[in-house]
Amino acid sequence: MAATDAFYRNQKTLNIIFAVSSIVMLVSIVAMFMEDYNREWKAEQRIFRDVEEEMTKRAVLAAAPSEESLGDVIRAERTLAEAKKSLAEARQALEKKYGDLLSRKLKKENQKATIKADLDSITSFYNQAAEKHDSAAMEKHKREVDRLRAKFDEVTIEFEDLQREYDSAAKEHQIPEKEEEVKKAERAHKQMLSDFDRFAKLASQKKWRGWREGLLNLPFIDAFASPTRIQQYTFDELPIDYSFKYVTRFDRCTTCHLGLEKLGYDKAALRQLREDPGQNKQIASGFKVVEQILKYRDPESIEKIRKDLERKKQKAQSEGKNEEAAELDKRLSDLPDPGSLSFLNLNLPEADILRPRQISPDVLTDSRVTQFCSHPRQDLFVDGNSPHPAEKFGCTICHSGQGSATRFYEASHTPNDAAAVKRWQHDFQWKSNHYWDYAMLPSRFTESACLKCHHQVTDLIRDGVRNEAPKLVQGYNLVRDLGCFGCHEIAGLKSGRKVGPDLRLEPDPPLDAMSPTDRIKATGDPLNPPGTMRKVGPNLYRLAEKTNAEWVRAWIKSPRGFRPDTRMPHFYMQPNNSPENLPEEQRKFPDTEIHAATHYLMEKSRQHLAEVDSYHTLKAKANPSKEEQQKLASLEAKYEVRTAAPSASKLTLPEAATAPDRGRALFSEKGCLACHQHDAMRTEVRTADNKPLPAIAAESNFGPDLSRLALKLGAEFGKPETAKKWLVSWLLNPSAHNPRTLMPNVQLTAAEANEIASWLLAQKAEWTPEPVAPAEAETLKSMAQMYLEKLMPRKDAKRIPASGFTAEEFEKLAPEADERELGIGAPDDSRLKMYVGKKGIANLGCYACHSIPGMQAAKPIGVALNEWGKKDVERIAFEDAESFLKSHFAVVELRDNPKDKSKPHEEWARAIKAGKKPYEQYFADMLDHHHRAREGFLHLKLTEPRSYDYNRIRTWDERLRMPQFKFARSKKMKDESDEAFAAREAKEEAEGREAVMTFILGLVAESIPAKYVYNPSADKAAEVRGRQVLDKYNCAGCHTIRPGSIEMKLPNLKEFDNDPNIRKQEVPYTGDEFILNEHIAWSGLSQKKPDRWSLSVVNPPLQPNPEDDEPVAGKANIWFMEALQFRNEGKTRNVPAGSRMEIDQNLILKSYPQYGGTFMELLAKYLRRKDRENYGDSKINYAYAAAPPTLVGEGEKVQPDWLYQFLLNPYPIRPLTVLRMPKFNMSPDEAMAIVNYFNAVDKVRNPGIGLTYPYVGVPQRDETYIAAKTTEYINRLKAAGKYEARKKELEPFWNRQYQEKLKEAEDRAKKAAESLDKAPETEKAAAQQAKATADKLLADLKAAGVKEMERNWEEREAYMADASRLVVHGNLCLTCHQVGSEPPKEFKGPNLNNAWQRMRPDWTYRWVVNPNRFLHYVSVMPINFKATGAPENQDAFVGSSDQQIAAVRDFLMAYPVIKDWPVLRARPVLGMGPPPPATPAPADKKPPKD
Amino acid sequence: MHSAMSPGFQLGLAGFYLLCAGMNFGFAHVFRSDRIKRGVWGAVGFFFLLHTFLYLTTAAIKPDAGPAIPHAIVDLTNSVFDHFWGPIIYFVASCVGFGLVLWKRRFFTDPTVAIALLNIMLFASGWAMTNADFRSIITKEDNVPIVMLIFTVLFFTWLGLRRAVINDDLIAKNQPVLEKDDEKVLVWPDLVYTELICMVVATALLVVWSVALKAPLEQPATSAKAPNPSKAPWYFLGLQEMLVYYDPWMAGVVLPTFIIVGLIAIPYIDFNQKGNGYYTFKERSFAITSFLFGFLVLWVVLIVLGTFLRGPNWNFFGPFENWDPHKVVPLNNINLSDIFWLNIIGDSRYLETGGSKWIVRELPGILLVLAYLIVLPPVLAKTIFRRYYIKMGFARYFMLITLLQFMASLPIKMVLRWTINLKYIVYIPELFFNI
Repeated sequence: MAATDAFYRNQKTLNIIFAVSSIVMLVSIVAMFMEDYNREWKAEQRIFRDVEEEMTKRAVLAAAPSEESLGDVIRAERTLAEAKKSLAEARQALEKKYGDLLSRKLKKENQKATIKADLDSITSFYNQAAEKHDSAAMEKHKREVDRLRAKFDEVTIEFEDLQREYDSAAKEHQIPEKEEEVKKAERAHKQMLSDFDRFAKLASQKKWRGWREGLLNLPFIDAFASPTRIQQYTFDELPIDYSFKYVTRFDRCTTCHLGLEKLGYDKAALRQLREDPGQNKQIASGFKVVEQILKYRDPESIEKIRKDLERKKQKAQSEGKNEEAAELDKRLSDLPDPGSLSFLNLNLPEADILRPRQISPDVLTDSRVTQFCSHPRQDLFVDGNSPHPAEKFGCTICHSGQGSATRFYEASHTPNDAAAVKRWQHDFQWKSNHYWDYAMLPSRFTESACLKCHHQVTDLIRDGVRNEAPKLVQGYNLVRDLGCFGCHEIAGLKSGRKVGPDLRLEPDPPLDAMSPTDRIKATGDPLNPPGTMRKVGPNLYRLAEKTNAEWVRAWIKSPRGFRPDTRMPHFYMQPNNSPENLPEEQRKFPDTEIHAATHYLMEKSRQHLAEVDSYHTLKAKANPSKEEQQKLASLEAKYEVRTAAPSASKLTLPEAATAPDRGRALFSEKGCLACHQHDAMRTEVRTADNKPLPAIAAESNFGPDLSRLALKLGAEFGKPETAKKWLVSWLLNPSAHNPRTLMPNVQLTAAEANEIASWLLAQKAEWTPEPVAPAEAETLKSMAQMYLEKLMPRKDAKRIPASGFTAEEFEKLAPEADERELGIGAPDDSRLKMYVGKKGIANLGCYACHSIPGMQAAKPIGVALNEWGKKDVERIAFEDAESFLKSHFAVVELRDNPKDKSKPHEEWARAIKAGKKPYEQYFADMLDHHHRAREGFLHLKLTEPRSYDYNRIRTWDERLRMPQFKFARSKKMKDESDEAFAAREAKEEAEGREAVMTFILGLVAESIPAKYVYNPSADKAAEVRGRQVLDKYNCAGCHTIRPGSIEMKLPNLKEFDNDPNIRKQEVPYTGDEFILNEHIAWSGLSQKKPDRWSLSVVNPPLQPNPEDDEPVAGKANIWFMEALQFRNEGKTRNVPAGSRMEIDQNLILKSYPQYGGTFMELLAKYLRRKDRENYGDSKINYAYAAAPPTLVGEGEKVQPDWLYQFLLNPYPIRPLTVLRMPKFNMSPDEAMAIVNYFNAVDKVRNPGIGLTYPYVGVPQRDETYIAAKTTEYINRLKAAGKYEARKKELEPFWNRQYQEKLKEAEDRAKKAAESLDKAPETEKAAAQQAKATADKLLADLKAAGVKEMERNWEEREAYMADASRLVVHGNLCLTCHQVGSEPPKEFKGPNLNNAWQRMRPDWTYRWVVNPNRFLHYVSVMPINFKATGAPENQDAFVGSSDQQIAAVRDFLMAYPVIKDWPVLRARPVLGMGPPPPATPAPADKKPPKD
Repeated sequence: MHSAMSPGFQLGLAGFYLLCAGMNFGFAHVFRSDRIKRGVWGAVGFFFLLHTFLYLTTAAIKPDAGPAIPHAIVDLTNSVFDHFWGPIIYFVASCVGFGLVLWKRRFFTDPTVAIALLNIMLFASGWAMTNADFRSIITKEDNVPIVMLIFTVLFFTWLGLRRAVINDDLIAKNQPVLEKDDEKVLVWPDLVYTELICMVVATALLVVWSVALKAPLEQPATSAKAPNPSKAPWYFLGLQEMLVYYDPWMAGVVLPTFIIVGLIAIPYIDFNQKGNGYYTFKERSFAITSFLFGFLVLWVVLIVLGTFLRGPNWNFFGPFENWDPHKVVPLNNINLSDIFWLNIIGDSRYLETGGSKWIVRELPGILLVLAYLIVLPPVLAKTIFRRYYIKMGFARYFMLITLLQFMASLPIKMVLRWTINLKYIVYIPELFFNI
């Protein structure tokens, strides 16, 4: 068909379609822009601008002068105006009098400046010419320079004349004074208004509703130069690991978290914006003042006010209301002069702009308050001065989440509990973001992130007690205590780089048991150092002599059934292996396995004991045969044998106890309760002679609870007395029974050990053992068959349990094969048990915690946890988790009561009441198959480890085998109902579990660049390392190691400073001691924060619960362990250590308990009750002195060498203590670490004392030091006029000495002459020589005469001789201490003969000054040397008190050098005969009581 | 089950049913002349409208519940598709459906039937959407194009067939076909104006799409963690499905090459002069059937399979089944050599590996393949394709038959896999050569 003019399609229709589609496109593009305009962060930024504006307004209004002080401001203003006016007038007067003097002066000054400029310029030309050696130009410029200089000099002289003239004229008119006045007035004025002015300026800048910004912020236009923009930090050096590439990290969190770094943006301040500002007094009055100020800007309005006031005043006057009139008069005088006041011109915006507005709670929701607030710990994070400034660290390295995201969802925010999930789903359509591998950590796990850089964990405890990551540290401690690392490797090293905490088992045999060469080899590879953790359970090599099979079986089946707070987890009666859940053919397996394992352990233990005994017998043999020698050598090679004590049955027990309670008293006093508990100790008893043996409520869990010990011990079940030998032998030397035990040798005598053992074994307790069905041969066989099937054809596996291996088959087995236990021929029950037991033990990994014979080389059975924190969810087998949860738990929404997090939620408690196990919905949701998360898996795994396969079809040994642990050790409190306790216990268990989770989730093995990883200084590192050793041996069980700490708000300083109680309560207040400003006990360090005090105190009072609405009234008592320094009214004050103070409980912001000292307190309390005569009431300090000493300041106190030796080999020091420092099973390295800990801590804590370690100089033993001191002392003697007298006193002594010496020399000469006569020819020469020497000696002595002795005294001995007099003088040191061989009146203090090697000299001095500055109780030692008043004891030592203290110190330190000086024995004045020569004997004395 | 029904979703469903109702009212309007049709479509529209009200009400009173697809249906569907029968049912049903549609095209292309089918589909999808598992797959941003693909492909197939049926009738009556129109049209406005409108509409569509559905970006790729399932882009999912049955060299190289070569070769093979410029089925039944089989069944259907029904570990999941990565499907496939030597001959000596022992071992397979490729074409030329062979001549016939053989190799292998668990016909690991 030909073309026609007609269109193919209807044009009208097309036009309509075109129009419609164009509109659709327009709408779609508008939608696109709106979508951009409404991006979440843009909306947030727009809201924040309002918030910021309001916050600035509030800041202005808060800084505004108060209504009352507005008059002051105006007066200050007026003073300033007057001063300025007066200055101007003076200047005018000057002008008037001296005509154009000022202008002439200024003109001359200008002229001078012009010439100077020319001169400088020409000089520079000259210099340039000189540089180029252009002599012609040089000459030319030189001439010009000379000319200008001459002119300059001339003008300068003229100017100076004028200046002088002017100055005198100015002086005449008092211009300098007036200028000074103006400056002063300006300063005063500025002081009143500077903050106000600054904030006002800021407020006008922050004004938001300008048309320009409004325009730029419109949709469409805001796409181009928007006032809202993305904020970000960029971190090239802290990249994100995308596994194949490191990508720069961008943190855009501050795009929405806009107040993060802003000061004052705390939640309370933000919440206030939602309240009606009119209701807030401070804001309202601030605004009123601003309005007033703005009114004053207008002269007319001032005039109006004035008129109004005047009218009122007249009225008042006419009515005779004089007071009112005076008031009005004052207000009139407070009115500014119209137009004259400068502060009206402050950068104050219109009142309307400053008018505070309420922000609707619908806009500023609780979520936005959280979003906009500043970081709550600016002291630790974000702030530029904190350890983790935001510019360096950003946000996501700690919080995780997707930093580059700008949407709530994409940033991977993670809610913290089920309530938050609900809220977020409603408010933000939240769902978990599967597309980001590192979701933000919910706040309950935030501390996990610390582990990335703080690999030592304990380095998160600042100042020894301020635990900044309590949950993580708790988790770490639980992992350590429960021995998770036994099965699960926690290596902390990834390709040689440190990426996390290192918790690995130590090698077997341990380093300590290796030869030095092997040890160096083992520690040689820095990339793979040996592990350091000991197995947490007891060594089972000697099980058979300790207990019996019946007990072991019941214990294995249900450890907590025997000891509720044991660390041993439950392996049996779990969801996947309790008989009711097992298939028919496996039902008897659990009990059979327990039987078999017990049999194996007992049997192997018996074999081991036999080996040990034969080793000891062979070793004792005088002439061993060759075979015996060989056997000995092979036994010697086994360290478990070599280090073991002979079996306990060989022990001869000492006499039986006479008083039955003596054992209990010893148990209470010898420190057992620092690690253990015993139920019998909870009640007081009376001895036979009716003396109290008080209760001692120890709660320590470091060692096992011993309440049921008697039920456990004994080779025969139910006969504890059969274990007495073992127990005594164990108490006497635990490490001979278990070379890796943490139980120290508490240095008991055999008799004491016997008493304690007798008492312990006599304690009865109730316990019904868990029944364990006997092992049937058939079951054993089928179990053996099951194991054998893995190794051999089924037919053989079936045959062998019945008929056994043939000799041929047996030969073929590998030497260490478990099957060897079956032996050749048909195995009997015992052999079957050995095999099945060994297989069971290996399968369950018992050797992870216990040393078990035959299992030395076994490998850990658990999955490594090195990177578990980032384990891919898809690689986790959830199996039956979801359905198990549904059928076994009551899911409750929240665990914690939202009002008081320390209490369980009602729902939680209700579930327990209903007899169900509560499960927090937060974690339950994470098991839901749509929302599986590793936290969810881990939580159930730690709750019910065997739940995942409880319904699965598995063979016995393929079932999950992680045992069930208990993480919390809750104790029922008094007045607590069973239900309340059950709910709390479950909550505490959940918290403990969460702590472990926090630790494990932190194991992400992220290799952070070295500069970000916490790299402590040497001192800090020593502290961290030392702390780990201290914790390992529970040193803090007995000793106080670090004082507690509180943070408190400032009290009313004026009152505080004038509080007479502070010094009155100082203990004991003498008012006359020397103030040692370099030491922290006397002079505090300056406080780091201006608004709070941080104090070191003894047993800090708890902080009031901030969630409580009711403020806690009441006082708290504080005992300072360090001085507090504060400033008040320009003066610096110090409240020294040892002072007591009473403060309002409400002032306490934070409270950190002290590190250690529990047992010390308990023992002191116990002693006071037990023995009132010696420890009661006024002698409380004796009770403390009897307890383990405090170790606060141990570093500055003792010499490192000594402490090191002492730790490895302690000896008794303090006669007053009732117990002895035990000998710990520690390596030299560990002892060194402890020494370094104390030194490092004191070096850092107490910078003023200039502590050095590991070496300490003791100058007191140098001859030069002694000589210098002596010279000084002789002068002092002379000045005091005692020189002659002293010499006279000594003369008889010198004479006697001289005579003795002379006699000696004469004898010697005589003898020499005789021997020369008798000597044969061959020895003549030598004898001749000897005679010559003797003769010369005699001649010299005669020549020197007595004078020589006198000279020696004057140059060398005088100082120390008199110091020694002082030490032994009257009732000083000798009252309590032994010095030399001089016994004290009463043995109270340590033997001072050892002081020279034990004490640091500086500390000794400070201690003598005032011992109470170092203790938390009143020292038994008095202050002997007073700072004020006439110095005492001048007859012994001439000098002031501090010289005397120094002398005592010097004497003690120099003791080994001087102790043999005869002059020390010349003490006629003191009425003492010459004592026998002293020799320091460390352990030669016993405490007086024993 | 997490909350499948949110108020927002219920409102969306209400909107969906409202659209469906509107569409049916539209049909009622279009067919207003026919009282029955008008009544039926009006009633269907009303039925959808009821759904709208239902969900509006439940959104208000039961924001988290609302009526959902009965469990019985979900369970029934899941059990129908249970385990390894899934792909068989799906593929066989597709083939049967395909055959049925072509055979009974007159019935299926009737607008009433088509509209009824469309309504059933929409109704079924509406209810299926209330299942969280179904919805989570269907609404994944990158799966949305496939949903659109299902509807558009069906529509255009229907359109072509519908016109073909009408044309075939017209041809039979010797009347001009629908497209018979020699008239030339103007560039402006008939061509360019329409194109402009298309551009505008396409732009608007793309903008709205990109605003409504965000780019489906996932986490940064890591070598340590492959996504499970790992899926090719949607247009390659058919190829990926072939990988289930063939080695990569076959499924990824040989077969796609043959697809391209085949498409290029069509003009040279196709000797049929009829059907140019108009729709017909009768005049080109072989060409249309074989092309549609290749495109619809072996390509589109497999894409849909790969997109919606293949889950973690490339296991088959029914439409309402949760994609559980722990689902294990038995794979007990054996090679032809094993079947032949062990099961039939009962002699394992020939099954040894290494060196050139494969020659004997794989002889049955090799012979079978050679027979398929070499013996079959002449046989066919003598029998079924006799007419074609005569018409086309040797070269063209041979090309056609080879292409068809390769196309058929996929369904053949599928059937062998399903029936006798055949893994490979030829299995020569020594040469990395498997068929």
